[in-house]
Amino acid sequence: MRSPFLVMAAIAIIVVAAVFIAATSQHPKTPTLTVTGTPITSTGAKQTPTTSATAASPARATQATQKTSTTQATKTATGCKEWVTITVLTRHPADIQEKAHDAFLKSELAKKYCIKDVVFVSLPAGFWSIRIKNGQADVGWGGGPTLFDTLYMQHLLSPLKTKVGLEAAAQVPDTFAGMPMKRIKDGKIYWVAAAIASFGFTVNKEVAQKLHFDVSKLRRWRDLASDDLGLLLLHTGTPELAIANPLMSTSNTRMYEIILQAYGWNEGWKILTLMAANALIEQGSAAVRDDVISGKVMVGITIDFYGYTAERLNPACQYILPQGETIVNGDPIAVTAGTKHQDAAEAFLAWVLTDGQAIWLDPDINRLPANPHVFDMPIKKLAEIDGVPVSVMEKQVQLLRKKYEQAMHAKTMKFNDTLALDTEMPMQMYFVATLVDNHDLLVRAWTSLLKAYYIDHKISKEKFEELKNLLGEVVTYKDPVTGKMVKFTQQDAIRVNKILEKALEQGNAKLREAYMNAWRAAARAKYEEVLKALGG
Amino acid sequence: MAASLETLKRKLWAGKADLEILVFTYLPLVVLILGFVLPLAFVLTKASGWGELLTPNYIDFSRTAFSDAVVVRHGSLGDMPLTRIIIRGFNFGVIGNSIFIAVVVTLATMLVGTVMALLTGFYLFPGRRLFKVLAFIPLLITPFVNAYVVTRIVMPKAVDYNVLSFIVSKLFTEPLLHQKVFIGFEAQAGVILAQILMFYPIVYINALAALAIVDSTLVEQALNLGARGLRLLREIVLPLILPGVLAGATLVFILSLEDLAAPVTFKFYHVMSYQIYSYFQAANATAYMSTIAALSVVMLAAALAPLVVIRRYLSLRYYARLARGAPRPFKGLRLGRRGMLMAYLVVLPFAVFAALPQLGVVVLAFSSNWVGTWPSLLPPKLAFYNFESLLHIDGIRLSIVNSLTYLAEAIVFIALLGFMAGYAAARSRLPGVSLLDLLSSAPLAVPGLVVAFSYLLFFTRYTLFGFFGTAARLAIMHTLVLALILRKMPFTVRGVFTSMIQTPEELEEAARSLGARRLRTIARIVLPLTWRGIVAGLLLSAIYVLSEVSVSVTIGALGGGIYSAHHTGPITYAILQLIEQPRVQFVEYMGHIVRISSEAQAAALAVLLMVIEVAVITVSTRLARRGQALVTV
Repeated sequence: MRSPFLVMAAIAIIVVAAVFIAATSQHPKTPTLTVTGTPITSTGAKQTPTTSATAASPARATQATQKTSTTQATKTATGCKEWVTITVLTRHPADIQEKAHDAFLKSELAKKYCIKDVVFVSLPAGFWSIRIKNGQADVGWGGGPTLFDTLYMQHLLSPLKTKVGLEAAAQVPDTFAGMPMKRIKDGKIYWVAAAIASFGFTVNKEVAQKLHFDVSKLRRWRDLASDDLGLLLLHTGTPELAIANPLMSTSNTRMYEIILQAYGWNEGWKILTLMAANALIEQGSAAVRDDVISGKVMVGITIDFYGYTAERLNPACQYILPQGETIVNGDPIAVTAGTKHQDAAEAFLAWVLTDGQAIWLDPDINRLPANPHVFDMPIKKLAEIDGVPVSVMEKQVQLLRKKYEQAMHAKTMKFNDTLALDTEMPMQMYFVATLVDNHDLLVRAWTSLLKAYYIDHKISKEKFEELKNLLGEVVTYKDPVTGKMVKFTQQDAIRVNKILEKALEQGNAKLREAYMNAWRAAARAKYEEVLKALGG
Repeated sequence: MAASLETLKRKLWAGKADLEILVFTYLPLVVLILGFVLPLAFVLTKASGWGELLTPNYIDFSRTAFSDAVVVRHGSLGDMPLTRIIIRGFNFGVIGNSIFIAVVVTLATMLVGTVMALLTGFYLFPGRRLFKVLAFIPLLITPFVNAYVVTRIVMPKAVDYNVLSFIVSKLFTEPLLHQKVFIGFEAQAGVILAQILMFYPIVYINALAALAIVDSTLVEQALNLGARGLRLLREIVLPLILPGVLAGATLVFILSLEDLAAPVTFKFYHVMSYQIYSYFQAANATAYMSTIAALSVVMLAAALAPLVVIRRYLSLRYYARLARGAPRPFKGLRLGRRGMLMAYLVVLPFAVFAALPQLGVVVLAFSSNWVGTWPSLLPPKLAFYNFESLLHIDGIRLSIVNSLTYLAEAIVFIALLGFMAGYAAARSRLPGVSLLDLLSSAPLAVPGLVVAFSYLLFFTRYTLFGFFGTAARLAIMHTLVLALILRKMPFTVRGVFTSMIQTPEELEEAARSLGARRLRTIARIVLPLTWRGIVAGLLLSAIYVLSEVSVSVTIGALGGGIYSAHHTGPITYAILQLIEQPRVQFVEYMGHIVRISSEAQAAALAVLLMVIEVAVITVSTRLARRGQALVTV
């Protein structure tokens, strides 16, 4: 052998060849709808058995072989000519995906509709529209109504068309505790709630005790914006509240919308501003939950099942529902526009809304189902779907039925869904521009104000309230479109929303940035004004 | 353009440009342009909004930027007075912070990495092996879990010790001053600290490789002439290993700019990498393309600047070697008493501290959760519970297979293309070489998320007959491997380049003047002289391919969640899903219930990743028989 370089080149050639060989042999295993858009032909079906056998590890090979044999068995039973793989975009965590994957493929519906596999794609919400537009998805599942309404507005959802889908959707009530469980337009159903959730906050009582803070003081959203929490921040140097960036968390977005409606727009923004001033702003709802569990903060705003998770991981945690200031939300499932497998996609949706509801009752998942009929299903069947002992499932059914009824009768507020949707984009952007991007400055202004009044006794009560009001006041900014000075009222938010939607439809994204820049600058000026008034 | 074509023609005519050098120069260049520049240009064409980048949100050196850098609060907890010290750093705006952090981290890692390399590579002293092992540990990258553990070590907690505070309080302040101290790192300071700990081994490993090829006669002559201690280091050794140190420092500067883990962990969002990431994480992200693009351009420029400067510097300061064959490495000098003191009192505590996150990951893998100051260890009979529960999940086994497959595919191309590019950058005088040099390092300077985003757009539209793409399983895998090759090749290119310029070209010229073709010269002269640098570079590439995050969790996720039967995610993606999922498992043991959090399972997976990384390094070191540049564990 003359040179090591030649050896390396030879290795490279072998590897390239191997990759190509693998490519030709594995090709059919690719989900059909995602390759070229052509449905699987009989050749595809014929090659199915070889696909999984190429798996590298022996363990996987055995598992794959087993799977193939069942597929073949059902093929003869149902006489499927074309096998379909459906792609589900999801925000649900992996354990839910795992349970749904296995249970659905065993179901009668999957066999009837010749569904060979379900591929779950966990993508950030921002990627969903690209995937759907490229025809690379069949179903969207989980992520909250905010996300699904955004998709609905972009015409990226397909209404339910088949009998099986519509019948399953009919089992879910149209509203629950006053909130819509479906998005219906002109008699067509675009999304259906697959699970329900409430919103509140989770406190860590052990941290509260060590800080000598009376937890019973935290009952309403307003209590999270209190001077008391601000003083704790001043004393310890670290925030005791955690909240999340609305652009990164659909559940937190919904909570801010609740606050804006419970207290009204102007008062709502004062509360949000002071909450943000008191808080550590996380980039996701799971981080907020972890902060409470680990005792990094005393309280965090969470969706109910995160609260339950916290209670289970750390018994010092407790989930609190702000009475009269919460809503119960539906977490949707929908068929995406441009799917090439409408029937199969609706079959999956139908399963999720019926037998698949059992997944929520799993002791590791603990969410509230959207279809109450699940509580009347035979316990044995539920236990079988989740793969847990019958005795455990019995307890779970009792527990979650109780929570379901509590949620149904929870003192909820009247929530205007349309209004929330009409202001959502500007609300999220304004929140980020004024409270997240300027967080340092906001905190400095707020703690200086608290210090001046409570510790240095430098300013009067009236002055304190005046400056506090100023801090939380919605800004007056120079509109980038009209050039006029406008106040960010609810009406203005609706106006901006229309402008932005239109601009986005035309593919103009710069306007969005322009508004955020204007709000950011105005908020900065406002915080500096407060600091200046305090002589800082 | 016409002029350079003219030069090219002239050189070809004169017989100066042989076939090999043409291939070496232009093959990697074409790959880089097609696979990297084009997709990026696809996104960059949309850049706009430059004026906004001058506002205080992006650059701010006003008075407020400097306030509250360190917050000290006095209070009490229980029966003891308590002082809370929170180190936050400054806030210079998005662009200001990124550059400030990168500069501080680079300088600090240069200092620490060089000291560490000199200590373990140049001196002989009892316990040297311990230092080598410690410096090696932070090289093991365990994405997400590492970050999770760092927060447990240094992030401030309201009413509880973090690990750092516990050590300081229990060892010093409580017995000596009857005072509790809570020390916490946050924001910019946290990011800087985490990055120094994370990145100093990169300078270390490069400096060590440079040290290994220092000709011992130079050192011996200096010793004979009476140079000792600092003077010997300053005047002889440091200038000789400077190319290695600078190569490492350049990498650190770029890695610091694009790093996402530390800003995420320390919740310090005012840095470029995070802004870019968050914009397209958010709902309706496509709307922000112009901002992503504009910031990417700034980041690219910032990252390329030092490369340009240092390349000029390196070519100016060429330290001549004695032209009498291969150098004989220096065997080592005995460390004096003052050196020993410094080694054990200053360097050792730092090295131990830098290794804590990795040790924490290992401990967490054998724990049920980490809620308090320390992780709660699993009962002995359940010690391997996290590992066992992982292997019951098919998708996680598949992620391991995927990772190894990607590594095997990527590393071959990285070796070939990386050597070609590094060799050409040092030896070729063809037009386009400086472009090649810039481009071959540029992938490091662009955040992986931007690469992923550009790939998503680019390869959805141009699939090259279905070979690449974002939908079909193999197409996703090819796209991912391509991204891995281009993103991680720079480690090899820098390694080759540095070795090349430390090797006298005269040797090759002599061989060629005697009639050897270039390929033969490379095989007989270049490779035997430079393989150490190549292996060091390949090693880094391999480790970073395995632990790559951004492309793995975006492009890799296109094949479905880890519970999809044929998902395309590598190990890092599986770790992310385990960290993200709100899962608690209850295991009954001896009458009481053990609560197992998914972070502990993720830690177990991270330990598997570390084992693979250790295996890769060990194998490479074994291949390189006299692997002094690297530690054998």
